[in-house]
Amino acid sequence: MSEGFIVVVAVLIFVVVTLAKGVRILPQGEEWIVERLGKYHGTLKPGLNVIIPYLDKVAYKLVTKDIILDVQEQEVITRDNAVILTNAIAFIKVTDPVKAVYGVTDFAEAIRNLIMTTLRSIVGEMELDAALSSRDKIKARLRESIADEAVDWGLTVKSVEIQDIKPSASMQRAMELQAAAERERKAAVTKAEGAKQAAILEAEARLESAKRDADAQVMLAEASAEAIRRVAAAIGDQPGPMMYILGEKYIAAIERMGSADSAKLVVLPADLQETVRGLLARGKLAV
Amino acid sequence: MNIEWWQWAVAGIVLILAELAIPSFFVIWFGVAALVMALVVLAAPALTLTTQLALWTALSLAMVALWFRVFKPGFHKTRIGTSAGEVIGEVGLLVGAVAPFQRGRVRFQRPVLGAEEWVCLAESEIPAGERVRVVAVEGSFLKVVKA
Repeated sequence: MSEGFIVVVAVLIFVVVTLAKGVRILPQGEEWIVERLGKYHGTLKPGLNVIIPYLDKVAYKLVTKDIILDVQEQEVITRDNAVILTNAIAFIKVTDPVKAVYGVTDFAEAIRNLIMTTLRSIVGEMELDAALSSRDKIKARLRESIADEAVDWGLTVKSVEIQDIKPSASMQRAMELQAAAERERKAAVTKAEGAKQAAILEAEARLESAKRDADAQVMLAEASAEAIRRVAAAIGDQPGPMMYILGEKYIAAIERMGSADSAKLVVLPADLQETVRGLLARGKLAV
Repeated sequence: MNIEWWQWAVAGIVLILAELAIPSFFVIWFGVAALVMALVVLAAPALTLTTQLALWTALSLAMVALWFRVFKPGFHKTRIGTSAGEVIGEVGLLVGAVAPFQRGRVRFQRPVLGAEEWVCLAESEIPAGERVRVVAVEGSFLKVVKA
Protein backbone atom coordinates (compact mmCIF):
# COMPACT_ATOMS: atom_id res chain seq x y z
CA MET A 1 0.00 0.00 0.00
CA SER A 2 1.41 3.34 -1.01
CA GLU A 3 1.64 6.37 1.28
CA GLY A 4 -0.60 8.26 -1.12
CA PHE A 5 -3.39 5.76 -0.64
CA ILE A 6 -3.21 5.97 3.16
CA VAL A 7 -3.30 9.77 3.05
CA VAL A 8 -6.30 9.72 0.74
CA VAL A 9 -8.13 7.27 3.03
CA ALA A 10 -7.31 9.50 6.01
CA VAL A 11 -8.63 12.54 4.16
CA LEU A 12 -11.75 10.60 3.28
CA ILE A 13 -12.37 9.64 6.89
CA PHE A 14 -11.73 13.25 7.97
CA VAL A 15 -14.24 14.57 5.43
CA VAL A 16 -16.88 12.00 6.40
CA VAL A 17 -16.55 12.64 10.12
CA THR A 18 -16.45 16.41 9.69
CA LEU A 19 -19.53 16.45 7.52
CA ALA A 20 -21.35 14.02 9.82
CA LYS A 21 -20.71 16.18 12.84
CA GLY A 22 -20.92 19.52 11.11
CA VAL A 23 -24.18 19.28 9.20
CA ARG A 24 -27.11 19.68 11.55
CA ILE A 25 -30.71 19.51 10.46
CA LEU A 26 -33.20 20.97 12.96
CA PRO A 27 -36.90 20.25 12.79
CA GLN A 28 -39.31 23.16 12.91
CA GLY A 29 -40.17 24.00 16.50
CA GLU A 30 -36.69 23.47 17.89
CA GLU A 31 -33.74 25.73 18.42
CA TRP A 32 -30.29 24.67 19.50
CA ILE A 33 -27.74 26.62 21.43
CA VAL A 34 -24.20 26.32 20.11
CA GLU A 35 -21.17 26.98 22.26
CA ARG A 36 -17.78 27.69 20.69
CA LEU A 37 -14.99 26.72 23.06
CA GLY A 38 -17.40 26.82 25.99
CA LYS A 39 -18.88 30.24 25.29
CA TYR A 40 -22.22 30.99 23.74
CA HIS A 41 -21.76 31.34 20.02
CA GLY A 42 -25.11 31.17 18.30
CA THR A 43 -28.57 29.74 18.06
CA LEU A 44 -29.36 27.24 15.33
CA LYS A 45 -32.72 27.78 13.63
CA PRO A 46 -34.90 25.12 12.04
CA GLY A 47 -33.54 23.75 8.79
CA LEU A 48 -30.05 22.93 7.59
CA ASN A 49 -27.21 24.28 9.71
CA VAL A 50 -23.46 23.90 9.60
CA ILE A 51 -21.20 24.04 12.62
CA ILE A 52 -17.51 23.46 12.99
CA PRO A 53 -17.35 20.11 14.79
CA TYR A 54 -13.99 20.61 16.50
CA LEU A 55 -14.77 24.03 17.97
CA ASP A 56 -18.51 24.11 18.30
CA LYS A 57 -20.70 22.04 20.51
CA VAL A 58 -24.48 21.83 20.58
CA ALA A 59 -24.94 22.52 24.29
CA TYR A 60 -28.73 22.71 24.58
CA LYS A 61 -31.65 21.66 22.48
CA LEU A 62 -34.78 23.73 23.12
CA VAL A 63 -38.34 23.22 22.08
CA THR A 64 -39.76 26.57 21.05
CA LYS A 65 -43.33 25.40 20.66
CA ASP A 66 -45.75 26.21 23.44
CA ILE A 67 -44.98 24.11 26.48
CA ILE A 68 -47.82 22.71 28.55
CA LEU A 69 -46.82 22.97 32.15
CA ASP A 70 -48.82 21.04 34.70
CA VAL A 71 -48.68 22.70 38.09
CA GLN A 72 -49.34 20.00 40.62
CA GLU A 73 -52.10 20.11 43.21
CA GLN A 74 -51.24 21.91 46.42
CA GLU A 75 -52.89 22.91 49.65
CA VAL A 76 -53.44 26.62 50.11
CA ILE A 77 -54.62 28.37 53.25
CA THR A 78 -56.92 31.31 52.71
CA ARG A 79 -57.06 34.44 54.87
CA ASP A 80 -59.89 33.01 56.93
CA ASN A 81 -57.85 29.86 57.64
CA ALA A 82 -59.68 27.52 55.31
CA VAL A 83 -57.67 24.89 53.46
CA ILE A 84 -58.34 24.58 49.76
CA LEU A 85 -56.73 22.46 47.06
CA THR A 86 -55.71 24.07 43.80
CA ASN A 87 -53.86 23.03 40.72
CA ALA A 88 -53.16 24.94 37.57
CA ILE A 89 -51.99 24.52 34.04
CA ALA A 90 -49.75 27.01 32.30
CA PHE A 91 -48.85 27.48 28.69
CA ILE A 92 -45.42 28.95 28.27
CA LYS A 93 -43.24 29.62 25.28
CA VAL A 94 -39.52 30.12 25.05
CA THR A 95 -39.09 33.50 23.37
CA ASP A 96 -35.42 33.97 24.13
CA PRO A 97 -33.56 30.65 24.02
CA VAL A 98 -30.32 32.17 25.32
CA LYS A 99 -31.91 33.54 28.48
CA ALA A 100 -33.92 30.36 28.92
CA VAL A 101 -30.82 28.17 29.10
CA TYR A 102 -28.35 30.53 30.73
CA GLY A 103 -30.71 32.50 32.96
CA VAL A 104 -31.97 29.60 35.01
CA THR A 105 -30.99 25.96 35.42
CA ASP A 106 -34.35 24.45 34.53
CA PHE A 107 -36.86 26.97 33.30
CA ALA A 108 -39.84 24.59 33.32
CA GLU A 109 -39.22 23.61 36.93
CA ALA A 110 -38.53 27.23 37.85
CA ILE A 111 -41.71 28.59 36.35
CA ARG A 112 -43.73 25.74 37.84
CA ASN A 113 -42.44 26.53 41.31
CA LEU A 114 -43.00 30.22 40.74
CA ILE A 115 -46.59 29.61 39.77
CA MET A 116 -47.12 27.43 42.82
CA THR A 117 -45.78 29.99 45.27
CA THR A 118 -47.50 32.91 43.58
CA LEU A 119 -50.79 31.03 43.59
CA ARG A 120 -50.35 30.39 47.30
CA SER A 121 -49.71 34.03 48.07
CA ILE A 122 -52.61 35.29 45.94
CA VAL A 123 -55.11 32.86 47.43
CA GLY A 124 -53.66 33.48 50.89
CA GLU A 125 -54.83 37.08 50.68
CA MET A 126 -58.36 36.09 49.81
CA GLU A 127 -61.30 34.89 51.85
CA LEU A 128 -62.47 31.36 51.11
CA ASP A 129 -65.64 32.41 49.34
CA ALA A 130 -63.82 34.99 47.23
CA ALA A 131 -61.16 32.44 46.28
CA LEU A 132 -63.75 29.93 45.17
CA SER A 133 -65.63 32.40 43.03
CA SER A 134 -62.99 34.60 41.41
CA ARG A 135 -60.84 32.42 39.20
CA ASP A 136 -60.45 35.10 36.57
CA LYS A 137 -59.07 37.54 39.08
CA ILE A 138 -56.58 34.96 40.32
CA LYS A 139 -55.57 34.23 36.74
CA ALA A 140 -54.94 37.85 35.90
CA ARG A 141 -52.93 38.50 39.04
CA LEU A 142 -50.94 35.31 38.55
CA ARG A 143 -49.91 36.37 35.08
CA GLU A 144 -48.98 39.81 36.29
CA SER A 145 -46.80 38.56 39.13
CA ILE A 146 -44.94 36.07 36.98
CA ALA A 147 -44.17 38.65 34.30
CA ASP A 148 -41.03 40.07 35.89
CA GLU A 149 -39.25 36.74 36.31
CA ALA A 150 -40.41 35.64 32.88
CA VAL A 151 -38.38 38.46 31.32
CA ASP A 152 -35.19 37.23 32.95
CA TRP A 153 -35.78 33.69 31.84
CA GLY A 154 -36.74 34.50 28.25
CA LEU A 155 -40.15 32.95 28.67
CA THR A 156 -43.57 34.23 27.75
CA VAL A 157 -46.40 33.00 29.90
CA LYS A 158 -49.23 32.74 27.43
CA SER A 159 -51.85 31.78 29.93
CA VAL A 160 -52.30 30.30 33.35
CA GLU A 161 -55.53 28.47 34.05
CA ILE A 162 -56.72 27.38 37.45
CA GLN A 163 -57.82 23.84 36.80
CA ASP A 164 -59.28 22.96 40.15
CA ILE A 165 -60.02 25.00 43.19
CA LYS A 166 -61.88 23.09 45.83
CA PRO A 167 -62.03 22.95 49.59
CA SER A 168 -60.18 20.09 51.28
CA ALA A 169 -62.20 17.07 52.40
CA SER A 170 -62.57 18.20 56.02
CA MET A 171 -63.39 21.72 54.88
CA GLN A 172 -66.02 20.38 52.53
CA ARG A 173 -67.59 18.44 55.39
CA ALA A 174 -67.60 21.55 57.58
CA MET A 175 -69.18 23.58 54.78
CA GLU A 176 -71.88 21.00 54.34
CA LEU A 177 -72.57 21.04 58.08
CA GLN A 178 -72.73 24.80 57.99
CA ALA A 179 -75.18 24.74 55.12
CA ALA A 180 -77.34 22.18 56.93
CA ALA A 181 -77.28 24.23 60.13
CA GLU A 182 -78.27 27.28 58.19
CA ARG A 183 -81.26 25.46 56.75
CA GLU A 184 -82.25 24.23 60.18
CA ARG A 185 -81.99 27.72 61.59
CA LYS A 186 -84.24 28.99 58.84
CA ALA A 187 -86.73 26.20 59.53
CA ALA A 188 -86.81 27.03 63.25
CA VAL A 189 -87.30 30.72 62.54
CA THR A 190 -90.09 30.01 60.11
CA LYS A 191 -91.79 27.76 62.66
CA ALA A 192 -91.51 30.36 65.43
CA GLU A 193 -92.85 33.04 63.14
CA GLY A 194 -95.84 30.83 62.39
CA ALA A 195 -96.56 30.34 66.08
CA LYS A 196 -96.28 34.06 66.75
CA GLN A 197 -98.65 34.85 63.93
CA ALA A 198 -101.11 32.28 65.21
CA ALA A 199 -101.05 33.67 68.76
CA ILE A 200 -101.61 37.20 67.50
CA LEU A 201 -104.53 36.10 65.36
CA GLU A 202 -106.07 34.19 68.27
CA ALA A 203 -105.80 37.19 70.59
CA GLU A 204 -107.34 39.39 67.94
CA ALA A 205 -110.18 36.93 67.59
CA ARG A 206 -110.75 37.01 71.36
CA LEU A 207 -110.72 40.79 71.39
CA GLU A 208 -113.20 40.92 68.56
CA SER A 209 -115.55 38.40 70.16
CA ALA A 210 -115.40 40.22 73.53
CA LYS A 211 -116.28 43.45 71.77
CA ARG A 212 -119.24 41.82 70.11
CA ASP A 213 -120.30 40.19 73.38
CA ALA A 214 -120.23 43.56 75.09
CA ASP A 215 -122.23 45.08 72.25
CA ALA A 216 -124.70 42.24 72.50
CA GLN A 217 -125.14 42.74 76.25
CA VAL A 218 -125.67 46.44 75.79
CA MET A 219 -128.22 45.75 73.08
CA LEU A 220 -129.94 43.17 75.26
CA ALA A 221 -130.15 45.60 78.16
CA GLU A 222 -131.49 48.28 75.89
CA ALA A 223 -134.03 45.84 74.53
CA SER A 224 -135.23 44.82 78.00
CA ALA A 225 -135.38 48.46 79.07
CA GLU A 226 -137.50 49.14 76.00
CA ALA A 227 -139.66 46.11 76.75
CA ILE A 228 -140.19 47.19 80.34
CA ARG A 229 -140.97 50.69 79.20
CA ARG A 230 -143.52 49.40 76.75
CA VAL A 231 -145.05 47.09 79.31
CA ALA A 232 -145.22 49.95 81.81
CA ALA A 233 -146.80 52.19 79.13
CA ALA A 234 -149.29 49.53 78.23
CA ILE A 235 -150.26 48.91 81.82
CA GLY A 236 -150.79 52.56 82.64
CA ASP A 237 -152.71 52.95 85.92
CA GLN A 238 -154.64 49.72 85.90
CA PRO A 239 -152.94 47.10 88.01
CA GLY A 240 -155.35 44.37 86.88
CA PRO A 241 -153.65 42.88 83.83
CA MET A 242 -150.24 43.27 85.37
CA MET A 243 -151.39 41.52 88.44
CA TYR A 244 -152.64 38.76 86.24
CA ILE A 245 -149.38 38.23 84.41
CA LEU A 246 -147.31 38.50 87.52
CA GLY A 247 -149.54 36.18 89.41
CA GLU A 248 -149.49 33.65 86.61
CA LYS A 249 -145.69 33.72 86.46
CA TYR A 250 -145.45 33.52 90.22
CA ILE A 251 -147.61 30.46 90.35
CA ALA A 252 -145.76 28.89 87.43
CA ALA A 253 -142.47 29.44 89.27
CA ILE A 254 -143.78 27.85 92.41
CA GLU A 255 -145.11 24.97 90.33
CA ARG A 256 -141.63 24.42 88.83
CA MET A 257 -140.19 24.51 92.32
CA GLY A 258 -142.65 21.92 93.46
CA SER A 259 -142.03 19.62 90.51
CA ALA A 260 -138.27 19.55 91.22
CA ASP A 261 -136.98 16.24 92.62
CA SER A 262 -135.35 17.78 95.64
CA ALA A 263 -138.45 19.75 96.62
CA LYS A 264 -139.88 18.54 99.86
CA LEU A 265 -141.82 21.55 100.82
CA VAL A 266 -143.56 24.29 98.86
CA VAL A 267 -144.55 27.38 100.69
CA LEU A 268 -147.29 29.36 99.09
CA PRO A 269 -148.07 32.81 100.48
CA ALA A 270 -151.53 32.81 101.92
CA ASP A 271 -152.36 36.17 100.64
CA LEU A 272 -151.20 35.96 97.07
CA GLN A 273 -152.97 39.08 95.93
CA GLU A 274 -151.44 41.20 98.66
CA THR A 275 -147.99 39.80 98.02
CA VAL A 276 -148.15 40.67 94.31
CA ARG A 277 -149.48 44.10 95.13
CA GLY A 278 -146.63 44.60 97.58
CA LEU A 279 -144.14 43.60 94.91
CA LEU A 280 -145.74 46.02 92.51
CA ALA A 281 -145.81 48.83 95.01
CA ARG A 282 -142.11 48.36 95.61
CA GLY A 283 -141.55 48.34 91.85
CA LYS A 284 -143.41 51.61 91.56
CA LEU A 285 -141.35 53.06 94.34
CA ALA A 286 -138.15 52.06 92.51
CA VAL A 287 -139.39 53.67 89.29
CA MET B 1 -6.73 -4.51 -5.50
CA ASN B 2 -8.84 -2.49 -7.85
CA ILE B 3 -12.46 -1.45 -7.73
CA GLU B 4 -14.67 -2.18 -10.68
CA TRP B 5 -17.20 0.39 -11.93
CA TRP B 6 -20.16 -1.69 -10.74
CA GLN B 7 -18.75 -1.76 -7.24
CA TRP B 8 -18.86 2.03 -7.22
CA ALA B 9 -22.43 1.99 -8.47
CA VAL B 10 -23.59 -0.46 -5.77
CA ALA B 11 -21.75 1.48 -3.09
CA GLY B 12 -23.41 4.65 -4.30
CA ILE B 13 -26.89 3.15 -4.14
CA VAL B 14 -26.22 1.72 -0.68
CA LEU B 15 -25.02 5.13 0.54
CA ILE B 16 -28.07 6.88 -0.87
CA LEU B 17 -30.29 4.31 0.88
CA ALA B 18 -28.31 4.81 4.06
CA GLU B 19 -29.37 8.45 3.98
CA LEU B 20 -32.88 7.28 4.80
CA ALA B 21 -31.63 5.62 7.97
CA ILE B 22 -29.17 8.33 8.99
CA PRO B 23 -31.12 11.56 9.23
CA SER B 24 -28.29 14.00 8.78
CA PHE B 25 -28.21 14.76 5.09
CA PHE B 26 -24.63 14.25 4.11
CA VAL B 27 -24.31 10.55 3.20
CA ILE B 28 -26.44 11.12 0.12
CA TRP B 29 -23.69 13.29 -1.44
CA PHE B 30 -21.17 10.51 -0.96
CA GLY B 31 -23.63 8.17 -2.65
CA VAL B 32 -24.21 10.50 -5.59
CA ALA B 33 -20.46 11.01 -5.91
CA ALA B 34 -19.99 7.23 -5.91
CA LEU B 35 -22.47 6.91 -8.76
CA VAL B 36 -20.55 9.55 -10.69
CA MET B 37 -17.34 7.60 -9.91
CA ALA B 38 -18.90 4.51 -11.48
CA LEU B 39 -19.29 6.44 -14.72
CA VAL B 40 -15.76 7.81 -14.44
CA VAL B 41 -14.26 4.33 -13.87
CA LEU B 42 -16.35 2.95 -16.72
CA ALA B 43 -14.85 5.60 -19.02
CA ALA B 44 -11.29 5.37 -17.66
CA PRO B 45 -10.62 1.97 -15.99
CA ALA B 46 -6.92 2.70 -15.70
CA LEU B 47 -7.26 5.06 -12.71
CA THR B 48 -5.52 3.87 -9.54
CA LEU B 49 -7.50 3.28 -6.37
CA THR B 50 -5.81 6.24 -4.67
CA THR B 51 -6.83 8.59 -7.44
CA GLN B 52 -10.34 7.16 -7.42
CA LEU B 53 -10.72 7.74 -3.67
CA ALA B 54 -9.30 11.26 -3.91
CA LEU B 55 -11.66 12.04 -6.77
CA TRP B 56 -14.59 10.64 -4.82
CA THR B 57 -13.80 12.79 -1.77
CA ALA B 58 -13.42 15.90 -3.90
CA LEU B 59 -16.69 15.19 -5.73
CA SER B 60 -18.57 14.72 -2.46
CA LEU B 61 -17.27 17.96 -1.03
CA ALA B 62 -18.08 19.82 -4.23
CA MET B 63 -21.63 18.53 -4.14
CA VAL B 64 -22.15 19.52 -0.53
CA ALA B 65 -20.85 23.00 -1.32
CA LEU B 66 -23.14 23.22 -4.35
CA TRP B 67 -26.11 22.10 -2.31
CA PHE B 68 -25.55 24.79 0.30
CA ARG B 69 -25.47 27.47 -2.38
CA VAL B 70 -28.79 26.24 -3.77
CA PHE B 71 -30.51 25.64 -0.45
CA LYS B 72 -29.77 28.95 1.37
CA PRO B 73 -30.08 27.83 5.00
CA GLY B 74 -31.10 31.29 6.14
CA PHE B 75 -34.38 31.16 4.28
CA HIS B 76 -37.54 30.47 6.29
CA LYS B 77 -40.95 29.92 4.84
CA THR B 78 -42.68 30.14 8.19
CA ARG B 79 -41.67 31.27 11.62
CA ILE B 80 -44.37 29.32 13.42
CA GLY B 81 -42.92 27.50 16.39
CA THR B 82 -39.71 29.52 16.42
CA SER B 83 -38.75 31.49 19.50
CA ALA B 84 -39.38 34.92 18.08
CA GLY B 85 -42.36 33.53 16.28
CA GLU B 86 -44.72 35.30 13.99
CA VAL B 87 -45.15 38.10 16.51
CA ILE B 88 -42.25 40.21 15.31
CA GLY B 89 -43.53 42.80 12.88
CA GLU B 90 -47.13 42.56 14.03
CA VAL B 91 -48.82 45.97 14.07
CA GLY B 92 -51.05 46.96 16.97
CA LEU B 93 -52.75 49.99 18.43
CA LEU B 94 -51.30 51.66 21.49
CA VAL B 95 -54.05 52.07 24.08
CA GLY B 96 -51.79 53.30 26.87
CA ALA B 97 -49.00 55.76 26.22
CA VAL B 98 -45.49 54.36 26.45
CA ALA B 99 -42.24 56.10 27.37
CA PRO B 100 -38.71 54.87 28.17
CA PHE B 101 -39.54 54.47 31.84
CA GLN B 102 -43.24 53.94 31.58
CA ARG B 103 -44.96 50.79 30.45
CA GLY B 104 -47.72 51.17 27.94
CA ARG B 105 -50.42 48.89 26.65
CA VAL B 106 -50.79 47.70 23.10
CA ARG B 107 -53.88 46.06 21.62
CA PHE B 108 -53.94 43.80 18.59
CA GLN B 109 -56.65 43.09 16.12
CA ARG B 110 -56.26 39.37 16.65
CA PRO B 111 -54.78 37.74 19.74
CA VAL B 112 -51.01 37.53 19.73
CA LEU B 113 -49.29 34.90 21.88
CA GLY B 114 -52.55 34.08 23.58
CA ALA B 115 -53.73 37.57 24.51
CA GLU B 116 -55.18 40.57 22.77
CA GLU B 117 -53.63 43.15 25.03
CA TRP B 118 -50.01 43.26 26.11
CA VAL B 119 -47.95 45.47 28.32
CA CYS B 120 -45.31 47.05 26.14
CA LEU B 121 -41.97 48.81 26.39
CA ALA B 122 -40.38 51.27 24.00
CA GLU B 123 -37.15 53.19 23.57
CA SER B 124 -38.94 56.41 22.70
CA GLU B 125 -42.06 58.18 23.83
CA ILE B 126 -45.18 57.20 21.88
CA PRO B 127 -48.60 58.69 22.72
CA ALA B 128 -51.70 56.51 23.00
CA GLY B 129 -53.64 55.94 19.81
CA GLU B 130 -50.57 55.46 17.60
CA ARG B 131 -49.96 52.35 15.57
CA VAL B 132 -46.93 50.44 16.76
CA ARG B 133 -44.91 47.51 15.45
CA VAL B 134 -43.52 44.72 17.61
CA VAL B 135 -39.74 44.41 17.42
CA ALA B 136 -39.04 41.98 20.27
CA VAL B 137 -40.72 39.79 22.83
CA GLU B 138 -39.28 40.23 26.31
CA GLY B 139 -40.97 37.77 28.60
CA SER B 140 -44.46 39.05 29.19
CA PHE B 141 -43.71 42.42 27.63
CA LEU B 142 -43.50 43.42 24.01
CA LYS B 143 -41.01 45.91 22.73
CA VAL B 144 -42.56 48.23 20.17
CA VAL B 145 -41.60 51.04 17.81
CA LYS B 146 -43.79 53.51 15.99
CA ALA B 147 -45.15 51.86 12.88
